[in-house]
Amino acid sequence: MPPEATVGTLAGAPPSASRWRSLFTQESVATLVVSLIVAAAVLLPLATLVVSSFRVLDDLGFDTTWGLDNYRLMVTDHVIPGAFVNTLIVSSGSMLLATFLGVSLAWINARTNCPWREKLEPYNLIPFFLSPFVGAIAWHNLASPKTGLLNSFARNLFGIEGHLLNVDNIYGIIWVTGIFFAPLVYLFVVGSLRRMDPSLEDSARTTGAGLLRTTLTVTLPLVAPGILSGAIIVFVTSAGEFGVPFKLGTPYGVETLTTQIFTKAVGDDANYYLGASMSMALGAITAFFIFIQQRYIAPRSFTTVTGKGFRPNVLDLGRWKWLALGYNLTFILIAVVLPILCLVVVSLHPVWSGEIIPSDLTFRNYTKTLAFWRTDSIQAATNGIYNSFILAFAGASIAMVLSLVVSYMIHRTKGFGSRILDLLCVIPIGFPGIVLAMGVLVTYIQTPIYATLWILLLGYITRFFPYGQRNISSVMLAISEELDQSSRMAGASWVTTLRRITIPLLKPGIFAGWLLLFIIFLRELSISIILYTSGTETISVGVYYLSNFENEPLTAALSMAQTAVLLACIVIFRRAAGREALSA
Amino acid sequence: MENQKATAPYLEVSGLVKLFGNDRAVDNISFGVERGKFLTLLGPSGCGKTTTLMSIAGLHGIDGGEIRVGESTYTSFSRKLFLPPEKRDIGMVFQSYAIWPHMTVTQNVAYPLEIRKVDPAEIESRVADVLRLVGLSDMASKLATQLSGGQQQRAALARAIVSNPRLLLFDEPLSNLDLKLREQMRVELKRIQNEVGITSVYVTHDQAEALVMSDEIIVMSKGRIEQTGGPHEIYARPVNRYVSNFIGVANLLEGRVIRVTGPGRGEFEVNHGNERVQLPCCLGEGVSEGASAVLSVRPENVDASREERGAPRLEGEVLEAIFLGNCVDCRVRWGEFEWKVLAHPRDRLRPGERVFLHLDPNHSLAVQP
Amino acid sequence: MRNRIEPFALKVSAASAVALFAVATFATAADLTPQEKKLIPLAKKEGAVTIINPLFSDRTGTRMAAAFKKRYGLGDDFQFNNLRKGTGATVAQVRQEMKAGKFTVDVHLVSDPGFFAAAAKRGAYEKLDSGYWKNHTELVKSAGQYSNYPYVVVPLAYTFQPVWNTSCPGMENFKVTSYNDVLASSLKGKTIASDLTKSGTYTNTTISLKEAGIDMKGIFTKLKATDPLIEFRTEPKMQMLINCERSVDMWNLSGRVYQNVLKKPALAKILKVGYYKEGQVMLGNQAAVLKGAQHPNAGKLLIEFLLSKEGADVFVEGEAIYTFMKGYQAPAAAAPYLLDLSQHKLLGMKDWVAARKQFKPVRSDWTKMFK
Repeated sequence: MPPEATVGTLAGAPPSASRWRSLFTQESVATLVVSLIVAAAVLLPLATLVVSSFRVLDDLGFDTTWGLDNYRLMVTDHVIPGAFVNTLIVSSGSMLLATFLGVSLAWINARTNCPWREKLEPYNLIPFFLSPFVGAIAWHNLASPKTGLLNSFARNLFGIEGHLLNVDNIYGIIWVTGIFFAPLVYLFVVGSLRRMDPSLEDSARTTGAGLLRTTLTVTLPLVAPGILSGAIIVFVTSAGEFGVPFKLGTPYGVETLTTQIFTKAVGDDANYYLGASMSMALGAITAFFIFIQQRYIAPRSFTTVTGKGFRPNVLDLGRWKWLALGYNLTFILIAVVLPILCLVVVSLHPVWSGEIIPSDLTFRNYTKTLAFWRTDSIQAATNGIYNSFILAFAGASIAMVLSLVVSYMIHRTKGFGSRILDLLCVIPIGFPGIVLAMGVLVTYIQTPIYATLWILLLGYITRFFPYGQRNISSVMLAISEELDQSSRMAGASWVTTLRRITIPLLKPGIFAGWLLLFIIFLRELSISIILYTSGTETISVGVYYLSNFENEPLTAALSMAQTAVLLACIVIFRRAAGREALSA
Repeated sequence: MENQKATAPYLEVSGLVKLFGNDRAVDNISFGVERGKFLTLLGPSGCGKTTTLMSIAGLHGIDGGEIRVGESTYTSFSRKLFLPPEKRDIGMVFQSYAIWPHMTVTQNVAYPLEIRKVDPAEIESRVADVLRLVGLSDMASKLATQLSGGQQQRAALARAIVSNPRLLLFDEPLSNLDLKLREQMRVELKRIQNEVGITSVYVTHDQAEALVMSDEIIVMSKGRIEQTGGPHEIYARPVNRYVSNFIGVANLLEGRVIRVTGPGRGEFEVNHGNERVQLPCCLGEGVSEGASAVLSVRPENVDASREERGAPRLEGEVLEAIFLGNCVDCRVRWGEFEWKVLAHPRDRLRPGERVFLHLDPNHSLAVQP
Repeated sequence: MRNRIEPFALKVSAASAVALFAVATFATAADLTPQEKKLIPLAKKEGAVTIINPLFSDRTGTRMAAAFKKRYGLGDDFQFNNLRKGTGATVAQVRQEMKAGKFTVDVHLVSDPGFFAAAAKRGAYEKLDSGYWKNHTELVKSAGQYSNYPYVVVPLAYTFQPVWNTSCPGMENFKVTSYNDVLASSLKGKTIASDLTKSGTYTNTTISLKEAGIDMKGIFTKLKATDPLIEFRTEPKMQMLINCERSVDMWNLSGRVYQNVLKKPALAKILKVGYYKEGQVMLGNQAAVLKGAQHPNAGKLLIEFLLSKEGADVFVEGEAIYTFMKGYQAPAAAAPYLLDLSQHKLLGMKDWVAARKQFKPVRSDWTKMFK
C-alpha cells in the first residue's frame, strides 16, 4: 500500500458511510459546533462593520449610497481628525503613566523589602476591577476646578484663589486612565520579577555592579517583554475606553474616537455608517498593536524567565524603604481611597455644589437608585442593577463553557482547526468593545434578539470570552495532556473524561476566569451603551443615564453601589482564586 | 522469528503510516506480538516509537495501514475504520504517570472499573488486590499528589491493569525516575506483567530497560524498523551499524569483507587511516564477500594485555583507564582509532602503557554499514 | 376584576364607586371622546405601550403611567414604558428600528420635524384619528410649528431660555432680556456654548433665529469671545450652573430649573430664568405612532392622552414645558417657570423640513468657530 497516495486527515479515519461514528464522535461534533459559533460570533459583526463603512448616509438620514465619503470625511471633518490625535495622545499618555506606576509598584512589591508589601498587593490591584468610568466620575468630583472636593479643600484651608487641580481636560483623561490601568502592567510584570532566576542578577553583581545598577541593567531588561506587553495592552485598552473621555473630555472640548463613535452610533448626531468607518480606523490601530504584542512580544517573555520556583533576590532599601512605602500608599490613596470617599460624600448630598453641607446629608439618592420597590425609584438604575447581575452571571457561565471547549480544542486537538481557533480568540481582544458592539448591533438588529438582554449577552461574550479562555488555557498548559488520555484509555468517553477529569482539574482556572468575567460584565459600559434599550439597561448604563439626565449625587450613589459590589467580588476572588490566578 | 508454534500474533500492526505534516513519523512498519508477550519499541526520540504506541492506543488517527488485536480491528486506513480509544480496552502507563491529582490512589485505580460499571463491592476487592500486587496497599487513601515518583508509577500501573485489559501500553514509564529506582522498577514491572500475563507494548529509549524486560525488541529509527528480535539476539547479532551502536557499546571499524571462509565466517579488512589489518570474523545478516561493512566488537570482547599473543597484531596506547570496581573501562589509541575496552581489574592497566589487543573471532561481527 | 368586567361597564362602575375616595383626578365616561372610547378596548387587549422621548423624567413617567391607566381604566397590569434618551439618540433608535422593521417602541415624541416629515413620506406612521387635535391646531400654526395630521401631531413644546445662578461671584444683579445681556465681555469664562453639532434643537433654534433676521454669526462671535465651555446636554449644563462652574447658560430649559428646585428647594432663590425679546424659538415636539409597532392602538390612545388636558397637566406640572392647547391653564406649581406666551415674541419656521438641509452648513460654520 503506497502511503504517498493518501492525504493526511485530521481525524485519521476519513468519513465513511459504514462507520459514520468516526465523523460524528462527541468530540468532533462538539468542537465543530463550537468552532462555527465562535467564528460566526467573531467574524460576522466585523464583516458587517466593514461593509457598512462604505455606505454613505443622505441628509434626512434614511437612504444610503455606496462610496468612500465616510473615509474622506474622517480626514476633512473638523472634529474627527482631532479626535484621532486625541486618542493617540490619551493612549500614549496613559500607557506611559500606567507603565511607570505598574513597573515601579511591581518592583517595590516583588523585589524590595518595602514594609507590608505583601499586604499592599491586593490594594494595588483594586483599580483593575473597578469601573474607569466611575473612576472618572469620582475624579471629576475630586478635582474639577469649581466643584472638586480637593480644590474646595485647598481654597478653604490654604486660601487659594481659583483651583489647584483640574482633571476636566486631556491630562485628566490620561491621569484617570493611567492610574486605573496601572494594575494591568503590574500583573504583566510582577510574575516575571518573582520567578526570575536570581543567578542572572547574582552574576551581574559579581562583576561589581551595584544593586541599583543591576536592577536597571539586568532585572528590568529581563522583564522587558512583560513590560512591553503590559504597555501595549494599556495602550489598546485606553484607545477603546469610552467612559473616561466621555466624562472628562467631551464636555470640555476633548473628543476621542470612542466618544465620536458613540455619538455617531446611538448618540445625538447619528450616522451609523460614519461611525462604522471610524470604528474601522480605531479597530485597525488596536488590532495592529495586539498583533505585534501577540506575535513578537508575548512569545519572548517565556524565554527569559524560567518556570522554577526561585526565591528572588530582595533589595534592601535601607531607610529608603519608607519612601517606597509612602509611594505605594500614595498610589492606593489616589486610585482607591480618595475616589471612593469622594463618591460617598457626593452621593449623600441632594445637590452637589463642591462644598460639604452637613445639614443637607441624606440617603435619598440611594433609595432613588436602589429601592426598586418604591414608585419614586429611577428605573434605569434599578433595572440596571437587576440586568447586570443576570448578564454577569449568565454571561460568565456561558463564556466559561465556551472557553473550556475552545481551550480544549486549541491545546488538545492538533492541526489546522486549532490554529484558526487560536486566532479567532485573539481577534476580539484587538477590537474595543464599542467597535464590536457597533457590529453586533447592525448584524442582529433584524433578529429577535435585538432589544433583549440576549444581544447584550452576545456582545459581552464575543468581546470578553478570550479573557476566560486565557485563564483556562494557562491552567491547561500546566496540566499534562496525558491526564486526559489516560482517562480515555481507562475506557471513559470524551464527555465523561471532560466531566470527571478535565473539568475538575481545571476548576481553579475556571473559577478564576468566571469571577474575572463576572466582574468585567458587572461594570461593562461601552458595549452596553450601544446595545441597550428600555428595560435592558445595565448598571453602567444607569450611571450614564443618571449623569446625562440627573445630577452628580444620584450618579455618585449608583456608582458607589456598583463599586461596593465589585469590591465584594474582589474579596471573594482573593479568597477563592489566590494571587496566582490574577495574572492576565 | 525464532519460535515455531506458528500462532497468529495477538496484536498485529501492518503497514502503519503516520504523517505529521509532510514528515513521515511512522513509515510503513509492520510487527506482531503474541498473547502474553512483552514487546519493546526501542529507539532514540523522534524515531516514531511513541507515535506507533499512540496509534495503537487510538489517541490519534493513522495515515495508512491497519492495527488489529485478536479478532477486532482497531484501526484500518483502507477500510476507514477507527475505534475510539475508550472502546479499545487498553491499559496505559504514561511517561508522566498521569495520576489524577484531584483523586486518591483508590479513586484513581477504581476509575476504569467505574467506567465499566463494575459492581461496587467487586471494585473494592479488585482495587485492593491490584494495590497489593503493586505494593501500594498502605497508600490507598492518599491523594495522588502525596505520592513519590515511584509510588505514582505503581499507582499508574495498578490503574492500567485493574480492568484486566487486552493490551498494556507503556510510554517511557521509567524515564522520570532516578537511576536506582529505575533499575528496581524494571524488575518489578516485569514481575507484575508476568503475573497478570497481559500482552504488553513498551516504549523506551533506554536499551538497558529493553534488554531487561522484553520478550522481543524492535529497534526503530526514523520511522522505520531496523531490527526485530529477542534481547540476546539484538545484543549479540545486530544487523547493522545503527543497531549495534544503539544497543550497548561497540567498537565499530569501517572496512570490507574480503573473503568468505565458511558458513557465516569470513575475513574483514579494517580500513582505518593507514592501518590495514585483516581480522577473522562472523558475518552478519546480508553481508557478502566484497561488500563494505562495519566490524562490531563489544568492549567486553576485546582483550587487552601487555604481551603479544599472535596475529593479527593490534598494538596501541592506553589513553585512559577508569576503575569501575568489577572492571576497568579503557580507551586505547590504535592509529587514529580509539578502542573501548573493558579490562579485568587485576591487569591494572595505566594510561600511557603499550598494550596488545586481541579479538575473539566468534564475537567479532561484520554488519551492514 | 378588570378582566372580568366589560370595559364599558367598568367605566361606569369605576366612576361611581371610586369617586367616593378619589375625586379630583377622576374622569367620567362623559369626558372621553368617541375616538378614545373606541381605542380603549383595543389598547387594553394590547396590554402595553412604550414611548421613547428625551423629556419625561422618571417622576413624570411614573405619574403619567398612573394617570393614563386611571383615565382609561386600563388596570394595573397594563405596562407603561417610558424610555428616555437624548434627542438625537431617540431619533437614531427609531430610525434604526424602522430600517430593521423591528419595533420595540410604539410612540416617539421628539423635536425633529425633518425626521418626521421624511418618515411620514415613507409611510412609516399609523393614521391617527384624534378628538383633541382640533384644540391645538390654531396655536401650532401661529407659533410656526410643523405638523402633519393625521400622521404627526405636536403635543408639547419647549424653548431655550437663558438661565443663570445669582449666587456665583458677580452675578448678584444679573438679568437677561436680550441676547446682548448674555454676551457681555464681563462674562468671560462664565458662559456655556451649546454644542450645535450634537443637537438638532440648537441647530433649529439657530436657523429659526437667522430666519427672523437675527445676526447669529455676530452672536456666536461674541459668545466665543467669552471663552465658553462647550456642552450640549441640558442637565449637565444645569449642574455646571448650580455649582458655579459656569454662571450663565444662553440656552437651557426652565423645566430643568424646576426639576432641580424639586430636589433642593433652596435653589429657587439662586437659579433664575430669563427670556429674549428678540424672540423665543418654540421647539415643538412631534409625536407619531409607528406602523408595525406592537401596540398601535395603545400608542394612539397615549397620543390622545398627551393632547388632552389631563395629560397636559401631568407633563406641564412635571417638566414645566408648553402645550399648544387653546385656553390651557398651567398647574400652579409649574406656572412660575413658564412664560406667558401671549406676552412674548414667538418664533417658528416657515419650512422645518427644508431647514434640515441647512444643518450641515450651519453646523460647519459653528464648528469652525468653536472647535
